[in-house]
Amino acid sequence: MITKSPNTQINHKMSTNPYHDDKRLLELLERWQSGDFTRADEQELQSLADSDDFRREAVEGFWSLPETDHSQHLSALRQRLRQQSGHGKRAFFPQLFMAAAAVLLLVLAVVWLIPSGEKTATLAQQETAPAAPAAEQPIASNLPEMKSSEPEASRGKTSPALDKMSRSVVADNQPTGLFESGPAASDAATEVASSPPAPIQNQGGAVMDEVVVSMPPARQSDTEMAQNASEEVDMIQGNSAPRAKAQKEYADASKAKDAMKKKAPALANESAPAEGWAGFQDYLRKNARLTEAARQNNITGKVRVRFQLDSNNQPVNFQIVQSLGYGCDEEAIRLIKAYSWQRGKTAEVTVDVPFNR
Amino acid sequence: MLRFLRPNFPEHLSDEQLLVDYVGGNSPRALGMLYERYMPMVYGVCVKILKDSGKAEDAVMAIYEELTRKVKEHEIESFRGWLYVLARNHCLMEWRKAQRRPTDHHAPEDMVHYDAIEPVFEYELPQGTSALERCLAELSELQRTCVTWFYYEDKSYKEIADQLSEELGKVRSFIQNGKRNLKICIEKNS
Repeated sequence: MITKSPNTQINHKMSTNPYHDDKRLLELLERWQSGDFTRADEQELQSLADSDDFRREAVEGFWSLPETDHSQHLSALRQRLRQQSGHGKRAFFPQLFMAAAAVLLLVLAVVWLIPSGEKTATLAQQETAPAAPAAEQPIASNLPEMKSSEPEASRGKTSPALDKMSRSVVADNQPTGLFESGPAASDAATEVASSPPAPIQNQGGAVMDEVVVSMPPARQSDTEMAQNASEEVDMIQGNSAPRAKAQKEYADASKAKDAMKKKAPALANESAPAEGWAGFQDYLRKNARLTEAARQNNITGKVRVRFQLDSNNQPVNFQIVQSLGYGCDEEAIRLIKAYSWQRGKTAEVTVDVPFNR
Repeated sequence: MLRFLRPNFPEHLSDEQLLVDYVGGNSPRALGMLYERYMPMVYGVCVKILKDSGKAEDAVMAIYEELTRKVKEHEIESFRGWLYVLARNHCLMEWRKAQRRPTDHHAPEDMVHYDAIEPVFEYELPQGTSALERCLAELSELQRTCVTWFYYEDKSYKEIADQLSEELGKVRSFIQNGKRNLKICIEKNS
């Protein structure tokens, strides 16, 4: 028997603030994509789409290609966007590290001062130098986590307690993954700041008495400071076993950090400009000029060029994917050739060269 | 000192706040964070107009680049509305440019609106029933099965896909095409 499907307006809050409705739309689209989607969801999606033009056209876009895996594109886009804008990585990192270091200082001062009265405040201070690499580890080893869109990928480096904590924070905060922008990494890293005792145990135990380490000047970079400290400690104590493990972990983490400082191609599979996309865009903005012929014909727009990077990072094999004509195509190629590039795992690059003036 | 310890949670900042931060020069990454919020919707609009998911992906990045320039040049009251217009215009322009080498003749304005709720379900049962039943019978077997299970047995896409051993994307497609055919058939018969 065919029953009439209820044509009722779904009872949900249509708030005047579009942000909540947009968020709900993205949640529903994520379910539409993943398959966990029913008739009722479709009705709700329809109401949300009907109430706003931006939402309506967005939904129509997804719906026009029902067999495409849009989540792949969205995931790629998030990566591309973060690469270009630089956010999602270190935005909060320096603050967090300072915060962690400050808390560590306090904790250590308490731990070492209270038990034995003989230990002086200065010794406690010196402990902070070897403590710094310990702080580095859990934070730094969270960096690979931030980079990928799968924050729950396992990393064997952090202590299990910390790992569990960051994973539970991540799970709570990212219910719908790709369709929504993620706070995951920032929350995981916050947890690090507020729970220093766990990782410290490993390190604090190893470096106890007879440590004569001069407090490095505050202005040194994170990397240098911790490395100096750990080197000096090694020399004085000859304490190899736990330190060596820490060294290796720290070295891996700092390598990841340095790679991220360089903005990227080292971590990404894609080829990219040697100094990052932002620099390249800037360079194009400053140097891309319409040819005389184009200007006379009132032509503006962009040239899309595909090319490859050879083993010397030189751009070769140019293809004009989208032409502007009037000599601008050649000019785009010239501009690309004049810039320095870094080849990634995939040698092919496609760039847009805008000509607006 | 305490402010210094507070972690930076951009998710709690308003659009306008992030915009101000970016334009003011204090926070170069604020624009990226802001754009990321709207990125899936911008992507959807681009797919609708450009009719290609790969081109849409590239367009989303191109719009971002345009954004980085334009936010500094314009006074923006409501970012969301302004972004919508920017995205649409960019895609329409790109579509028209592509039309110089004609491959497809649809203008985006002619594009079909995909209705999620088909009018067929608004018909009163008595009259609609026979037409509905007849039209359902005219669908292909897979379309009919998917439409029936989705609308009348309240199954999810995933459940239907598993039971039919079909791909998820195909199920979506069957339901959409089935619905469209039903609509056309019923309109013909009334």
